[in-house]
Amino acid sequence: MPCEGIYTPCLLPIAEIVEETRDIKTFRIPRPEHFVYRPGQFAEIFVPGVGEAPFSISSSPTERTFLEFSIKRIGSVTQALHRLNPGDTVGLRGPYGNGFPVEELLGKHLLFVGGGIGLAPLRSLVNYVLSPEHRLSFGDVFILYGARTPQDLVFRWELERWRKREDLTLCLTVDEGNASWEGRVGLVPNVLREVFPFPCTGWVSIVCGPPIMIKFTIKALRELGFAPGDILTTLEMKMKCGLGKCGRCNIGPYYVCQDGPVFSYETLLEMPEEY
Amino acid sequence: MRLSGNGVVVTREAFLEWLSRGKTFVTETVARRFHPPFPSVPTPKAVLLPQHEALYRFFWARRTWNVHPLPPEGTPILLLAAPCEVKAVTDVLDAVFLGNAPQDPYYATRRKNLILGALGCTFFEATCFCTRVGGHPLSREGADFFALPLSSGMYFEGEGVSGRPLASSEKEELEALVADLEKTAPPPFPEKTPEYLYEAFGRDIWEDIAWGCLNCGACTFLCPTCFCFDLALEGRLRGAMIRTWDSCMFPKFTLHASSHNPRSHPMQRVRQRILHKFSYHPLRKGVFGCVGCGRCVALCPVNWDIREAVERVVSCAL
Repeated sequence: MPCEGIYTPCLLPIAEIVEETRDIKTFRIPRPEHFVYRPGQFAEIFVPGVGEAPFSISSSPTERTFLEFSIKRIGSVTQALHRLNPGDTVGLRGPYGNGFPVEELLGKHLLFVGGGIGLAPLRSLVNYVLSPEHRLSFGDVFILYGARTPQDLVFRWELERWRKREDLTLCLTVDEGNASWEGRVGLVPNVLREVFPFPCTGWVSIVCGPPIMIKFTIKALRELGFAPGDILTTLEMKMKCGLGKCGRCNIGPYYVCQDGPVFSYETLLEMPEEY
Repeated sequence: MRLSGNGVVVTREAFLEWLSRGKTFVTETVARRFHPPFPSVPTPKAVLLPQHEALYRFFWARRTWNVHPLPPEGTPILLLAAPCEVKAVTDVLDAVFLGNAPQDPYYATRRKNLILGALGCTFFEATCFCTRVGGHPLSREGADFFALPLSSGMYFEGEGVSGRPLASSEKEELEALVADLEKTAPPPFPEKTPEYLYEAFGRDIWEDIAWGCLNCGACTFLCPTCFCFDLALEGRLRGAMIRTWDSCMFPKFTLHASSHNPRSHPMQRVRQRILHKFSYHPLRKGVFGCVGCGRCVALCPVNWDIREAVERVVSCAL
């Protein structure tokens, strides 16, 4: 299919759909050759006859053959996506956004803090760091992931895979446990204060989740001694073009679609609080 | 930047005939002041970024979805605009659609096919404030040619028109005009206006400033620099992706699917409009995002005045 022009999507068949939770599904589509991206970038997904919306890419660029998007059912486009089956067609344009500053993270210890579907963009970077070709370029990896209930944890098979690795620490928490839950119970920022045992020298933290979680996690990270420049987060805004033109995703003078979605807390401090 | 004085004088008729060699339009401002025999468009924005255009078609056929890009059309157009409206193209629209990679192919094709002339202004209307934001009524910057009505004919700077050199009386008329405009020019906003406004974001003044504004969005549609657009799908089994003008004055502009809205309050949207033009755009591009044409002031249904708003924020900072 044609991929001409900056607004026209490239049509692709859905290869696989994984049901993550009752309202989150992961969609796997073939990765077009021209689609070169870095962890933390996003793409516009087009559902014929319905519309288009931006989603962060949850697969790592080290996966050469496919792209994955983990999508919560929440608006008209996501509802339509959730009704699709493998083999059905979606459109893709991108990648957009700055992505994580991977070069600046080389040699650092990485603390990932995710909440709910916020693990999706982090997963791209986690798997990039954990891939055989990159693992030695980074230091320790610590992943703290929380969700409302055990049923709301995404990427369960991936969490299992991470748990089995010896070169990382994985800590799961839920707001509300159940009889079979063996992990921690508690809000992410509180758990973070308890479980992160290291002096923060040489660590960079990468945070993504609901706005309220990000806010309190940053507070906890500051208490643990993280400098504003060593806290990275990814933001969401309403977007249409993804190309810095349609004018709606600005926070002050920054366009989230081009200057973001990844911002350091240092930059966030300079921005008007309107997100 | 200002007129050189090296131009020529032609008759009004010869000038109009030279203009009519192709598909010629004038802006509403030029039409109102100069009464040329050409159809008018609101501002150059209407030519470069149509209010409504289809970007691609999609359809279901032979058991599969198809997408067909609709390539941009490039009809050569000649447009005569006021100097502020030319500035809106070069300072804002070009910066967004060409200066910020990737270029917008629809805009780029139309821009390449546009001959943009400036018709100098001989007076300030009550709502004019180009000199407050770095413009000038006799600026030919960014224009392909410049014309100015004199009592004896048209003063012309540019290529393709042969006329006679200025007579001494015409030189005097020009000098008198320049002097008169100098005397009546609204003074520039302070140099640090973008910084003042940025720092004022969290202050307690915006409710008061936004008071009276209906959030109707008329100003954003009339504005020659407002470029925000929506992409919306029309049709189910066949249809098109449509680009239409949108407005930061509308509550749905920033509404997330989750129902979170960072600018849910009318005050926040007025603040966004002021800061985008007078703080965010200048901080990034070094020029105001407003060219002082005054159309939003002249045509606002409740006489809300963006000049007063900027002055009030600046005076709070000083």
